[in-house]
Amino acid sequence: MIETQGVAKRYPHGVTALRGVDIEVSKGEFVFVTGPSGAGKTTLLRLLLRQELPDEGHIRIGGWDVGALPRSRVPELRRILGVVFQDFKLIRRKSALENVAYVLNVAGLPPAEQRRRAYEALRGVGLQHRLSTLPDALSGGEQQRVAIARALVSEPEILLADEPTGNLDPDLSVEIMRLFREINARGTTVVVATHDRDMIRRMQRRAIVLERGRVVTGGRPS
Amino acid sequence: MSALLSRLRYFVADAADEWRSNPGVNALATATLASVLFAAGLVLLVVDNVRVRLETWQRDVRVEVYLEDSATDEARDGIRRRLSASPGVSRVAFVTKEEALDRFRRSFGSLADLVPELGENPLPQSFEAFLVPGAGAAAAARSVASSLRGVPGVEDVRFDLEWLDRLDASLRLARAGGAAAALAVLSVVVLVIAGVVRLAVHARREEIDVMLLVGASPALVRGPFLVSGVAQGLAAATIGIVLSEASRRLFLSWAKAAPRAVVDLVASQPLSLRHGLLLAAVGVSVGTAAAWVAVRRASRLP
Ligand SMILES: Nc1ncnc2c1ncn2[C@@H]1O[C@H](COP(=O)(O)OP(=O)(O)OP(=O)(O)O)[C@@H](O)[C@H]1O
Ligand SMILES: [Mg+2]
Repeated sequence: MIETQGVAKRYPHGVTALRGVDIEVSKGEFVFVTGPSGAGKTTLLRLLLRQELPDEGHIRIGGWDVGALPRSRVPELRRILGVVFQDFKLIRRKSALENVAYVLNVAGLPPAEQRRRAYEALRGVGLQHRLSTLPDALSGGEQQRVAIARALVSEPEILLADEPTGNLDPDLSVEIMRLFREINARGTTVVVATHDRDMIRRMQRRAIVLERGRVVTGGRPS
Repeated sequence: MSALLSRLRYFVADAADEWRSNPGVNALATATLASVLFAAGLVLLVVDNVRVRLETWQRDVRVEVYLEDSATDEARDGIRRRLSASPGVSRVAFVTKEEALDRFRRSFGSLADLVPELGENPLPQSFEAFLVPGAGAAAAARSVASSLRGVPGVEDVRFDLEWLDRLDASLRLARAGGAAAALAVLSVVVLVIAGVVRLAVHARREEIDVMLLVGASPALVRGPFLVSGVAQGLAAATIGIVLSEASRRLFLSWAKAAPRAVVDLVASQPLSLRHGLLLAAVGVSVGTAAAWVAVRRASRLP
C-alpha cells in the first residue's frame, strides 16, 4: 500500500530531515512511526501527502508514484488519505461540524449527508456538544479531536496521524486508539506517528523507528 | 445538474460566510473599489452632460436664408427645393415675417416695447436649413451658403461659422478629455486593487492551504473567492453609481444661485445608461480579476 525507496529530504539551510528511507506498509496494516523529536516523522508524512517533494528516491501509494504524480491529480491522492496533522490545521472561520463536513463536500456528497456523517464522526470523538463552536474557542484536546473526526469521516483508504493523542488525557487517548483500531478493522491502513512508547507497547503493532532521518528498525513487515 | 447547482450554492454560502468572518478586509476591498468607481462616475457624469449639451447645440446649427419681401411664390418654392436637396441638410423650415417678429419679441423682452413704434414689420421672411449634426456640418453650411447667394429672391444668407468651428473643437476636446480621464481612473484602479489583493491573499493563505491538504481541487477552493469577487464588484459599482447620483442632486440644490448655463452644462442629466453599465462592468471585472489573481497563486499545488 505504501512503499518508499531511498527517500531523502533536505530542507534549506542544510538540514537533512530524511536520508535513504526504505519502508513498506501493507494494505490493512496498522503501524507506528516513532523516534525522538526531530527524527523526521512529520517530514515522512508530509512526503506521503505530497506536501513536499523528496529530493531523492521514490514513494509509491496504492498504484501511484507520488513524486511523479502530475499536479492535477494531487487532489485525488489526498482524497484517499485521512490526515491528522500535528498542528491540527483546522479552518478557523468554520465551526467544528463544518470543518469535518468539508472533507465530504470535497468528495461531492450532498449537504444533508455531509452534516449527518460529520455529526456521527464528532459524536465518535465525544464532541457532539461542540458542533457549532469555532476552533479558536475549543481547547487543544478538543481541536485535536475535531482533526481526528475530520480524518476518519470519509473512511479513507489510508489514515495518517501525526501525534494524534499529544494533547489528550490517558482515557481519551485510549478511546481514540480504539477508534483507530475499529477503522483499521474495516480495512483502512493506519500509520500513526508518535513518541508515546507506552501506547506502542500496549497496542502491540509494528513500529518503524526513525533516528536522525534514518530508519533504525521496523522498515518492513516481518 | 443538481450537483452543479449544489456546488454553486456552496460557493455562494461559503463566500457569505467568509465575508462575515473577515469583514474588515472585505469591506476595505469593496470601499476602495467603490471610491474609485465613484470618482469615475463623477467624471463620466460631467462627460455625459457636456456631450448632451453639445449635441443639443449642434442640432440647432442652421443656415438662415433671408428672402426679399418681393420674392414670388415660385422663387420661394425653388429656394426651398434647392435647400432640401443640398447634402448635409436634415430639415428645412419656413419663418414668416410675423413669426420672426414674435421671436424677436420673445428673445428681447425689454426691447420689445420699441416694436409698436417701428410701424411696419421690418423683419424679412426666411428659410432655416438645419444641418445634420457632426463634423461635416461646417463644410455643409459653407456649400449651402455659396450655392444660394445671388439666387433671385434671396436677400442674404447667414450662418455662424465661428460658432460651428468652436462647437466641433469642443466636441473633440470633450471626447479626448473623457478618454484621458478614463485611462487615469483605470490606472488608479489597477494600482489600488493590486494592494488590496495582496492583503486578501494574506488573510486567506492559511485556510487555502488547509483546504488543499484535505483534498480540495483548486477549482473548489477558488469558487467562493470568485463569487465573492463578483459580489464585491457589483456592490462597489452600485455604491459608486448611487453616490455620484446623490452628489449630482446635492450639487443641483446647492448651486441654485449659480448661473443656470454652468449648472446645466455639468449636472442637468443623470449618468447615461451606457456609462452606468460600463461602471458595473468595470466593477465586476476588476473584482473578479482581483479575486482570481489572489487565489490563483495561493491555490497552486506543489
Ligand atoms: N520547514 C522546515 N524547514 C527547515 N527545517 C525543517 C522544516 N521542517 C522540519 N525541519 C527539520 O527537519 C527535521 C525533522 O523534522 P520533523 O518535523 O520531521 O521531526 P519530527 O520527528 O516530526 O519531530 P517531532 O517529534 O518534534 O514532531 C528537524 O531537524 C527539523 O528542524
Ligand atoms: Mg512531528
